[in-house]
Amino acid sequence: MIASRPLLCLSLALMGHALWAQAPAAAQPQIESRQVLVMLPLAPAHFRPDADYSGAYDAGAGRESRRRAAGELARSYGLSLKQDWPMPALGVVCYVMEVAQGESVDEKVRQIARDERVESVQAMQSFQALEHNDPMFAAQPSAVRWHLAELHETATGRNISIAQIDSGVDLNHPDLSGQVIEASNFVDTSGYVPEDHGTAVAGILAARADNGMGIVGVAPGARVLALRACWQTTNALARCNSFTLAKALQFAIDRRSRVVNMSLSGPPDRLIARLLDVLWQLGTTVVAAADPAAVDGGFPASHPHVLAVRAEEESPGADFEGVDALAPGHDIPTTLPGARWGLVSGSSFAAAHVSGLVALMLEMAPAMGPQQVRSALSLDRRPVNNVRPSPVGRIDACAALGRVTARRVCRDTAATRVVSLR
Amino acid sequence: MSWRKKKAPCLGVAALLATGMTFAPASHAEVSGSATAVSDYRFRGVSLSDGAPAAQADLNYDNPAGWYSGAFVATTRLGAQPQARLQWLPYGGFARRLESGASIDVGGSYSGFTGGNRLGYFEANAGITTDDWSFRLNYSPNYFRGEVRTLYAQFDASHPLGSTVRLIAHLGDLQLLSGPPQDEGAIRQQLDVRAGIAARWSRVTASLSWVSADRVASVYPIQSYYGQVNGAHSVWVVQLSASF
Repeated sequence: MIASRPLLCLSLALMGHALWAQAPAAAQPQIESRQVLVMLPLAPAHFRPDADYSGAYDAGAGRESRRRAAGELARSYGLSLKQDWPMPALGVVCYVMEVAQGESVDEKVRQIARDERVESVQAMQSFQALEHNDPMFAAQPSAVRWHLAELHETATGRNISIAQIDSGVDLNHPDLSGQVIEASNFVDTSGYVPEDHGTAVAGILAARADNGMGIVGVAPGARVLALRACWQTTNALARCNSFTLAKALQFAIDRRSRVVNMSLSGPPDRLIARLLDVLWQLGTTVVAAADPAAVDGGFPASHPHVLAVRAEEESPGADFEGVDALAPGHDIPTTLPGARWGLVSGSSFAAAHVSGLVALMLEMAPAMGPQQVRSALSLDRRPVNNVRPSPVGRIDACAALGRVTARRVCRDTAATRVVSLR
Repeated sequence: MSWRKKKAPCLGVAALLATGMTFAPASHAEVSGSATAVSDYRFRGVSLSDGAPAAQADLNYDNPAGWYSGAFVATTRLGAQPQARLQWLPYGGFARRLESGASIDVGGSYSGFTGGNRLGYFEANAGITTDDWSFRLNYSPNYFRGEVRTLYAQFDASHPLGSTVRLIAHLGDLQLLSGPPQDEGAIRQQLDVRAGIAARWSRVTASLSWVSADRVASVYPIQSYYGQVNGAHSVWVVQLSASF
């Protein structure tokens, strides 16, 4: 296996050309540093005699009235109104307003928070995907560690919907063909574009099996909702903000996604936290990448209703505050835009592994809620190469699926001493 | 023109104005409205404008606690009641949002017509609404004053096609539960469908939809003295609406 790494690396390099370098550049939204999110109450939909009224919050009825109220509020604080998005899951409409140059954003937030017309207000915050922006490393098929082929004899995540909140996915990639059931762009109105990070995560989640090319996703039977809430910057990193993420989360709520994958991290965010609470109540399992550079794993990984995942290869000597589980996240072969494949590393991709595994578990036990999923995920804390990995533990995928199905899933694994997440 | 004939439109206008005036808008109450021109006013699949264009307007008030009220007015042409040239429909109720984001509501409405006729009727309704669809039951103890109890079940749905355009669909089932008309052959059930496309630009919404009813229930006051029902049961309807 070790000898094959340079060959695989070379072949991937040939397929991938210049990795991370050639994805289409997406239009970057306005700088968010001067923007605030103002939440105004949204009246619940109800009977109206208009013939065309169907209850859609964005379909006209009340929209102009709400916009007018938001415009008046913006003017009263010297702000300019930029965008709006209804979030019926929270009973609010979220308005993006921009603070004038020379004025303090924090001071505006404090002032607006005292306004009784306002449900809540916060500053716009930035998030970024957790990947290494490094050249390719030698390849090591992570599927081997999880006995993926044997897992797929039991489950493939069939009909489980995974909302992937990320940058754009290459919907025409041959290894992802037919795997994405819906794609929406929450970044801008310029159309859905394929990007590196989103395409890489989608491949790990649900790349097609047995199609004679590329890789196999952890849950090739799952249905992916590719929600573009992040955009690729010029240095190939993916960035997002509070507004784009909240819109995508509302969409995931609307579609009743069973799993939400958030391979990204940033500062604590009240609006996003509230939407995560709604997902928890609806029985959705949210998996997020834990940021190795953040003391508590960063947000949303630090949220109590989120399963925080880090790459198991980052274990030795690392601080694991706020991390729930470790999963493969280093040298992961996956899909890239333009019918390419390449190697990726980072907590983002560890989280994608766990989201895929959760889809397999939910196929076998559809009634499981996020707390039950958390309990069924089994951790293996045995040392690897005599190095004790961490106080957290790697996910034992065979044991996790075995616990859900109440039978032995993988044939050639030694009996493992596993523990459950809290 | 008698006082009685003038009373109804005054009530309609009063009801319309009341929604915006009797409730001093609370700091985060919501007042909205729209004005609409439609090529044929199809009410549950039946033309209340004799197949001719009609004008409509509505005003709605939402209280922060969940109470709502509003009024709707529309020009009408009814074959059996030619004096009924305006329908006025005040409504109200209570709505609450569920944790899932869907809303449930219960309320009532009164549909009155000008012209000194006796068509006005009360209807109670209850429904659930999501961002994509709604289901509603409407019960009237005396539908169009025809001395019939009716239950109208309706399912409405919309599906966005991008940020501007959405598909719209509607299916309705009217059941005459009891009472006249008792004549043999009287139509006691009616299905209606509506399917189309709507586009919104800022505050203007335009829609094109195909509306059809499998038959016209006997209770509707649209037949002429000679029993003639004007207008086809299926028709394309164009609607242009401005919201405020």
